[in-house]
Amino acid sequence: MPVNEGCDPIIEVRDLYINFYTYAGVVKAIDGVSFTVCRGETYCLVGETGCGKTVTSKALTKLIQAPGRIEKGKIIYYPEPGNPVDIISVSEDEIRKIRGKEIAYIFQDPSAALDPLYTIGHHIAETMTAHRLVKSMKEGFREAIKYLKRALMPEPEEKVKSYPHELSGGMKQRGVIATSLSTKPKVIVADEPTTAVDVTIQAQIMKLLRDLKSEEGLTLILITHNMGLVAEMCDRVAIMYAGRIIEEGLVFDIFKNPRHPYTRALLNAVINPLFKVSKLESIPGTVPDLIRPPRGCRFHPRCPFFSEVCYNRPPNFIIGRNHKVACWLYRDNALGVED
Amino acid sequence: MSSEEREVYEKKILDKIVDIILDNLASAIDRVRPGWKTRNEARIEEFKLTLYALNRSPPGLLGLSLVVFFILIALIGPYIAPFSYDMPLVLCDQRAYLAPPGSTITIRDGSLCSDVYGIKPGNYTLILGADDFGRDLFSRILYGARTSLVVAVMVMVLGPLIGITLGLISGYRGGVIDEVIMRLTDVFIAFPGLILAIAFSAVLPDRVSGLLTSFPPLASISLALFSLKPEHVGSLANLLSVVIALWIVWWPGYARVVRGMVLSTRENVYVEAARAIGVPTYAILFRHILPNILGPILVFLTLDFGGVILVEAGLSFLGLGAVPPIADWGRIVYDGAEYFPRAWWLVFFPGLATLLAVLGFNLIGDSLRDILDPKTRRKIEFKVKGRR
Repeated sequence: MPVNEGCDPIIEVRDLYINFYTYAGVVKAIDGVSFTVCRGETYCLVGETGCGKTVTSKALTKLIQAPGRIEKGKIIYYPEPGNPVDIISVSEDEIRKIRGKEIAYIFQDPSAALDPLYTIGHHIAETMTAHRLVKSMKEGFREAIKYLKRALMPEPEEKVKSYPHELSGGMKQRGVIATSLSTKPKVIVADEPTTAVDVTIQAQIMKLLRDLKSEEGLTLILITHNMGLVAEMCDRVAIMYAGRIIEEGLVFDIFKNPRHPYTRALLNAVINPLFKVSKLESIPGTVPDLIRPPRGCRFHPRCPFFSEVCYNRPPNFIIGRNHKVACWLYRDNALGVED
Repeated sequence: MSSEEREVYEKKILDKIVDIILDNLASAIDRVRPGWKTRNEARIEEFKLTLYALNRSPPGLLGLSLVVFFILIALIGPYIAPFSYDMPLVLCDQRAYLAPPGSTITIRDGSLCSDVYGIKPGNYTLILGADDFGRDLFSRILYGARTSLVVAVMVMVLGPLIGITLGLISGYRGGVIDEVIMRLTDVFIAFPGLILAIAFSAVLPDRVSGLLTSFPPLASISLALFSLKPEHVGSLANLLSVVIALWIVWWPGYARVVRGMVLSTRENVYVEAARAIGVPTYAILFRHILPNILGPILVFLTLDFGGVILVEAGLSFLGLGAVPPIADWGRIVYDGAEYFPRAWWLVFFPGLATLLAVLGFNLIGDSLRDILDPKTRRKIEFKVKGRR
């Protein structure tokens, strides 16, 4: 049974390994991650802090900096169907044309992502001049108003001249979104875009992203640890644990029918606001040390279903249409194994 | 209520002068480029508050007036000096030999000075005295200010530029490049700067004079800058050697300090965001990192300006750099030391000039941090606007 049926891939990650060389030792932050993002979908990377979501997203345009290094693997970007670009092997000059222009980022904390010395308009104009979309900064400022309007910034003509410290968190995030939109990218990577803003703004920002996505035909890669957001926004979800994707599937399947013990535990830990609970659910044990990760399945020390076989690394068992899980529990009733 | 009333601040006279000057200036620009004033209203306001902050810092004001005075003297000094820097007045009046401050000399009609050097006959008061050739000390100090300023400006233009650029590259790139640049810096820092400068300014003059003869425009530009007579073109090589020697020893401090600041600044998310939108490395360095660390660099630069003046005077005191009859504060002290304490003025006045110039830059540098701090501006804004 084929995985990713009817998918026109825009980004394909194959067997990615990323290490960080620290004084304490080599951190194996990403350990054989593979996934495919389809054109026009919203793909979510979910997992707890330190599981490698952000590192994976940064690797998409080779933003990994020393002491980190992409050890091996392939990242293939398809600007058009059937026209692959190997991200890992292109030169620094080439990748710069992709950064921002083709794949744009929205960072977690908008107040940190804006240079305090420049106005919002300057950020947008700079992005456009860096990719030669406008001839001058002046023209860039005029264009900036358009994109601020697009990002639903109130009073865009005024705000284009505002410095980051003069804006609220929500407005800053709109400014950042306008910056990413200004190059008309094909992919937007949103790294926890709502963590730094309050819930009402969160809802507005997410609605904005969804509207923009459908209007511009964007592909959205959303990184979050907010399960509510995932359910709300995503088409497909990949659950990450300790540098690996342990389960991937359509959002409906993941929520309705979680298979991996970690996914189950994660969903159990989500609080239902309708019920008062005496004790919050948690996953026993701690996140493994990625310098000396557990042998085989990296979740086995915390897993209630642990058996000897878990000392071997589980392959991706295909257990349904578009549904894969990396757990030995499913070896007998799997439909197949992904290569 | 009462305590608040006491807090209310009245504008100082200096603040009002600032207001008048800036308002008129802004209106003048506004007439040439309509709409400029409204567009830059906030900027003008901030600039005013910066100047108010300066008005509230007595050391800063003192430093500023000393520095402005020094620069003014350096610019117009050669034109207002009563005599040329190399005019040996003893040729005309024996009394000019080591004349004490305030003594009078007479230039007679038909003497060498009036016929050959074109000095108007009459009585002259040498307000700061004269040296063993009867050269007017006051004139020489005025010319010396020009020498100091030009050397200091030349050194401060290129030296820190080299250091800042290397520091930026070193801090941002890291790895082997960082290691190489920083170890080179270590070598320069470990070796006493003054001694290195002495070595270089002793070796360089031959090369530099070769360069000057093969490239005459450079010589004539330098002559004009130092305000020297054409016949002293030979001494230029010595002065420029000092400048080059100071370029060589002046960058390591900047490279080290800037690297440190870059290391912390480059971790900011806005730097990563700039990378993520495809901004090229040089633009990240000069548009996002450099402006964000400019405050401390500016303070360092100002303090260092005085340092260069001092080292330059030190080098010429040691007999390097300016050679007589070029006027240079360090050199005047060195030549005058021979007659100390009999002719104390030859040591005292150029020393005092150096002291005041260096003190001025140091005082500004010290108060610049407070003045540039946005928090100071906000505090003053509350006080000044409370009354409006």
